[in-house]
Amino acid sequence: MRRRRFLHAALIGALGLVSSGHTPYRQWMVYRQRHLLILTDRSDPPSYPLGKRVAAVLAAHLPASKARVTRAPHTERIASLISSKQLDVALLSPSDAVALVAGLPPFEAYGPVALRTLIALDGYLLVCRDDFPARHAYAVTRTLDLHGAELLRAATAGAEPPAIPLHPGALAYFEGTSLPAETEERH
Amino acid sequence: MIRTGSIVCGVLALVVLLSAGMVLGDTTDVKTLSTVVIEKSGAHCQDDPNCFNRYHPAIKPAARAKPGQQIVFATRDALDSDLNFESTADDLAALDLNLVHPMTGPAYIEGAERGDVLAVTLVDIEPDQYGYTLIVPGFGFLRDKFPDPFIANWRLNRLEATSPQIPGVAVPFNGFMGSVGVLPGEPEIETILAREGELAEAGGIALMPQPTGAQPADVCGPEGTHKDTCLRTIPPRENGGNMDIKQIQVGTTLLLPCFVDGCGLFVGDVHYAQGDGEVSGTAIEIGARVTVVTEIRKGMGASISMPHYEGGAQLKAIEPSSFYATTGIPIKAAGEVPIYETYLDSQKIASLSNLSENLTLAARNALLDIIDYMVEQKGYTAQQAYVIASVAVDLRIGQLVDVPNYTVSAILPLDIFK
Repeated sequence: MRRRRFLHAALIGALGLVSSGHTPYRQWMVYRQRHLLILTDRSDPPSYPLGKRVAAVLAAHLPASKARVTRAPHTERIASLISSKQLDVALLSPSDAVALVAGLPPFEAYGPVALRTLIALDGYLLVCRDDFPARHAYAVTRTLDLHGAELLRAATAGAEPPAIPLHPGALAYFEGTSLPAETEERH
Repeated sequence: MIRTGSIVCGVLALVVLLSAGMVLGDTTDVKTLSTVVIEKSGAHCQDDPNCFNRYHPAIKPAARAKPGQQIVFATRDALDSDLNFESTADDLAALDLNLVHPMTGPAYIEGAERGDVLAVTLVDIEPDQYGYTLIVPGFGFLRDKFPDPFIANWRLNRLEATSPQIPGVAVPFNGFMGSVGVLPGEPEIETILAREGELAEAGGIALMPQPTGAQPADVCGPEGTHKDTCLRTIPPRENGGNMDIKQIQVGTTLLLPCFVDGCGLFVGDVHYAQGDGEVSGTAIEIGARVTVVTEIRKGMGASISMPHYEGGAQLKAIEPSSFYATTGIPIKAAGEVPIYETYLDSQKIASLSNLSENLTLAARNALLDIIDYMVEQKGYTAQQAYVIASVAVDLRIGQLVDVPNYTVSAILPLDIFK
């Protein structure tokens, strides 16, 4: 019962996904706040259809997320958008995610970037900035885990530890523990 | 005898040369002044030493040119993007607007000094074969009405632009430099930062220096020598820049006040075509090769505080031969605060259904009506109609005296419909 109430709150909270940052157009931020944008990579062709399925599942089962896929022209753009807080969530190969966290090539101009895993999906990691709100991380992870079949291929979270540590919100979902307190409200 | 012999020798030499495949009658190799070409290199501005996307007098010249010498600027699209014919709306949220606008140059004009006027005559624009028009969520004149992304990919030649996303429309080539200007000096930087900072503080839309993505990185980037004072390229200012004035067509001359020695002339953000208003936030955005010629008007800088421009019959050529127009006055629904006025926190505005002397609201209403017209009469979606308006509809002031209702017309050229 408590969990249901929390999930309801999480769904409502997802409406207010906040992506502060350095985007020059304040209005542009509004769109990026209104929608949970799943960043994919045009130069990595499988990531885009997978991202579309992820966004479709979230839009259907976590409608407050207003999830949409978006496609960066190359992996460096993902690094730029995530590191400058313009966007929060991306689908990356484990090797790219590890490189971005460590600030290794080809991301040395952007990293190191603090990322956390939300869920592992079909050879990819759905990662987010480490300041992504825990309640949002919980809701996203839960939705994708419960509706993994609709991604056509099974989600693989929990099968083995992901290359990037789980986000505390995602960890709380998988372990059935309470959410950690948010340390700071994002603006 | 000697003379006759010389002629015979000359004729023989000509025959020999012609038989060797040389064509002396051709004028291609006959030159006046050499042309200065500022080429682009690399995929993006950050890869290109001739490209920058912030303004500061410390930015070093990419080339030097004499007055009267043709200068060719190889320019990039406004977003320094990777968009192409396969791009879709899904690509738009991943655009990095910190990269706006890549400019080519600056060109140091020899003999020009602070206090002069630099006259820049547009000689030619050679467009790329691809262009795009976007609806970027949260951006544009009707951003509250069009919250979703949209892209029209345009196939271009020097005659017209067509797009599979906007069927039945062919937009004629009326190219111009969306951004053209000179570098600001230190005093201008100080003044501009102060006034825009005050506006930002008051809640207005003013974009303060942003080192992320800034070029040249050694001047404006996160570790740059002037990272906190490099101006963004979005607003037009006294030094020109992103003016987006389509009347500055080939053959017209732009007059720019010169603020630094050599002026630091730059060009970028070329528009293949645009309606007066550029209402969706983008025109038909292209890369291009732009040819200009400059002239220095010594000591004339004090006579202009902003760019001026002059020309001949160029404006006639871009007027439609047939059109349909709507008009707007500054009325609204009671209870609404127009998005352009929200930062003023005026309690009076919300309850009113008629604002006084408000040109922006008049333009908005004329535009909304012309979009409705295209939806109802031409069968386009609202997004398609908004894009057509951005690239072809002219918002024109009717009058600024008949208080409280200024009038604005939205003029749709019917020639574009095929």
